[in-house]
Amino acid sequence: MIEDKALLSEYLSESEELLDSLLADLDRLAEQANADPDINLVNRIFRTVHSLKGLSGMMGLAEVQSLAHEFEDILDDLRLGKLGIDEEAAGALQEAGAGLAALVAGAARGAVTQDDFDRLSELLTAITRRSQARARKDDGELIGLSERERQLLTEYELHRISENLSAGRTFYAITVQLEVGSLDTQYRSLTSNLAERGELITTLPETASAATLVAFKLLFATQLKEADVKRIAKPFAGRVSKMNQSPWRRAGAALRGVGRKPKKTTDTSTPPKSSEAIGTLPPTFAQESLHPLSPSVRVELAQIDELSGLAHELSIEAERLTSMADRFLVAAGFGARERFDLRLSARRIERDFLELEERLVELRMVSLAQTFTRAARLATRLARELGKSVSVEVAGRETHLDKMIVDRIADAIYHVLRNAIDHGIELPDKRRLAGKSARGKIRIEAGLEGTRCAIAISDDGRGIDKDEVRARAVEIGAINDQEELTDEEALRLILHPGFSTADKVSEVSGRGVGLDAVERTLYELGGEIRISSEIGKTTRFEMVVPTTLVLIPAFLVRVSDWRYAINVGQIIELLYISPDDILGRDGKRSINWRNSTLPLIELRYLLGLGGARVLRQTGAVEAMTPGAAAFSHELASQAQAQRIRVPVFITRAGDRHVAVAVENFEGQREIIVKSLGALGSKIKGVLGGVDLEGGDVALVLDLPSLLFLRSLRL
Amino acid sequence: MAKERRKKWRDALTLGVLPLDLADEKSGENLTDQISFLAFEVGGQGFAIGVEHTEGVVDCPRVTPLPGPPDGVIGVTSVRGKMTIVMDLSLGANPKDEKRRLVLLKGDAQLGLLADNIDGVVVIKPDEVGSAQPRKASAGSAKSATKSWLTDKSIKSRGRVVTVIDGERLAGA
Repeated sequence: MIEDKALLSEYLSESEELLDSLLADLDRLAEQANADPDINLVNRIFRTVHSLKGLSGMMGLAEVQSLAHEFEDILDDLRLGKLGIDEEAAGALQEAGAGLAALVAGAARGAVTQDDFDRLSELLTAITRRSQARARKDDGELIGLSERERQLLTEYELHRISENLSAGRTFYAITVQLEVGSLDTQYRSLTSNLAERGELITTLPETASAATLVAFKLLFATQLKEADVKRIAKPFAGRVSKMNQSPWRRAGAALRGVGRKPKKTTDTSTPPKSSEAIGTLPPTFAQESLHPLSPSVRVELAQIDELSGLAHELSIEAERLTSMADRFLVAAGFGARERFDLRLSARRIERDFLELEERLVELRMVSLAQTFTRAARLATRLARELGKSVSVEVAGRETHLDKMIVDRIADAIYHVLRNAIDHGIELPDKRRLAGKSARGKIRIEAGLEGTRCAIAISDDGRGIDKDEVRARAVEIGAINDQEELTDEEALRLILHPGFSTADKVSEVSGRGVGLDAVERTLYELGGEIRISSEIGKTTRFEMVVPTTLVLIPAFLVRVSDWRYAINVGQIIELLYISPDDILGRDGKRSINWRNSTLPLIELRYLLGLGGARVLRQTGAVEAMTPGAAAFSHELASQAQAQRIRVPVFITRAGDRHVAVAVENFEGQREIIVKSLGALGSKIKGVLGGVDLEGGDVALVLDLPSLLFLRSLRL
Repeated sequence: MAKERRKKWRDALTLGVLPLDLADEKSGENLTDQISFLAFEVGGQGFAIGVEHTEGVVDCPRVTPLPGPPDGVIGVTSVRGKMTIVMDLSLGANPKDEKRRLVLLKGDAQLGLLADNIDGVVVIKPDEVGSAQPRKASAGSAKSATKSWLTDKSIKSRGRVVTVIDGERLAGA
């Protein structure tokens, strides 16, 4: 057990990343079952387990370390072709991976029993027993390398040579000399070019012609003709020589048996050199690769926030200093030139601080990759548990969001996903009857919509039956049976608390809690949920969230002597309307917009600052004959257009558009939203505050929840 | 420690923040059997709060009203770049037009208590803390909510009895 809390959290977060990538890679490996596994994939899995082993060893978790070591052995067999991958083996490996993940979390907290270890250990032994299954035939033989060079080859590299020989590829030796200064980039560029067109077996050291040069020989197997290989090597001034196959074969027998030390007796605490050397760095630089691969550090969110606060204080201090310096310059009799220079440099400092604050905001952004990977894995597992089969497609992993939003949205994603598999995807037999493939399809995707991010989860399942939803909504009293609803409104009824049409409560979902919680989460984040469905074909849930809660492009409006900031993502259109365009009576005003009638609400009413303003004289127009009314209407609007124009913006509440009237538009700008602290969550409809010039604070409004609060579910 | 004190003094000089731990500095070992309170007045009523719950006193900048605020909260203002929720313990009784002060509290709540006047720091012995004067039963429902921030204790400041605020509760609000 790890006592040191800081160390524990470090260990967990680092091993979490490793385990995530391990599990994802094992899933990928399972997809390639029965075929020859992708060698890069197997290598990556090997490296991940190896890192995990090292990490656990460092933490003194000896049991985890030894299990990881057993795991590593199995993977080594796989790399060497001693172990074939069929569905059963792949499944066992996936299970072992999941077991290892559970063990790591448990072991770090000291909550693992001997049984847990034994179970995983047995599983690993069972997989090992399969390794005798397929010993590869070695018909490949090699030579063309000196005795010294041959000794540098590992068992794994020998195996790759024979594999490539049996695949009928040709071998080339490419000798290059690279400048020490640019070695890193040059080498990487050359090897990645080669890797695209064949397999780089190994890199062997050579003697360089000058002290500033490093020379090596690359052993490359490919289908390419010699001229093509020469073209790749040319920019690097590489010398290419084709290796004669017959001498390779001749010496093969002699070489076999010289072989390597048996794997089991090698010192397992040092990494097998082969795994580090292949395709990355030459053996002379093998030590280099012992360093962590990622050049990054982990930082707590709170630390970034502290830095932001500090940067802000500094900027205020700098401002104060500037104005003081300006006064001194005047007092000391300096002229306009000096004051101008001072202001110029003050402006520069100001700009730098702004950039600093923006950079700090960016630091809070993380990609959705990890969340999506987990979601995909969860989906596959759930489907299996329910006797269903799904393929999960993921897109937009690289979309970046504020860490806090990613954390909060994760549960919502998992929830919607569970619903899709439990209620959406049908059992294989049913799908076949409906003329679909037995395997269901789930797609998880993310994309940016301006400053917001839309995360969509769609399935090709049975769709949502609106009549069924309606009936159920009437039953629980969410609507009365006379109510007329649009299609989307009917679908949205499933977001109602207590709604669940599942006939029986299942392990996975259908307990009637949840979708309303999903909607609430999205509202709190200033986002929304959209649903669409086609019966028998598909259901799609789209969750829209802001990409950051901190730095947002905002539009400022004025109401009752105060300014308010609104995320531009929540504003669909800005318009000035004439009072004559306002329909209906006070308390139920509306306007026409894009051929539909929208309710018109005053922002001051939403904010509880007062009721509706008097915007026009009522009664005059309505009383006249149509012709006269039209004439008078025109006159009135001409006259009033000069006097009063009402600034209005169009926003969206759920699936309806709403027009909101303000007193003035004050322009758009990027703002840094500041938290209102622990009490902030109790103040609904406000995301935070923003400092304005002159010391005022503008509240950053969250329109959907403001409208929601005022029960304007229109 | 010295760094903190320097920062306090810097604030005091540049922002008009009153450093509050001066009493602590001079009383040394006597500290254990003495309690320090910051006493202030708002809307004609007197209040006191343990100095350990406070961060300082500043001139209150313009307060932006909040929609649907919790009881006692009148709005938000920015103090040294930090959003600060402003609470009026008198619930708007006898508002003064003059410049008001803000008692900043420690804790995640980012709270500031509105004050018309700051009496100053009162250092007393624990046995000098009395029970609060009985409050009028006429207090409305909104008032009873803020009353939960008040303890049943009182102390004397400038010759009158003031109610002690439950600073721990406010800080955790």
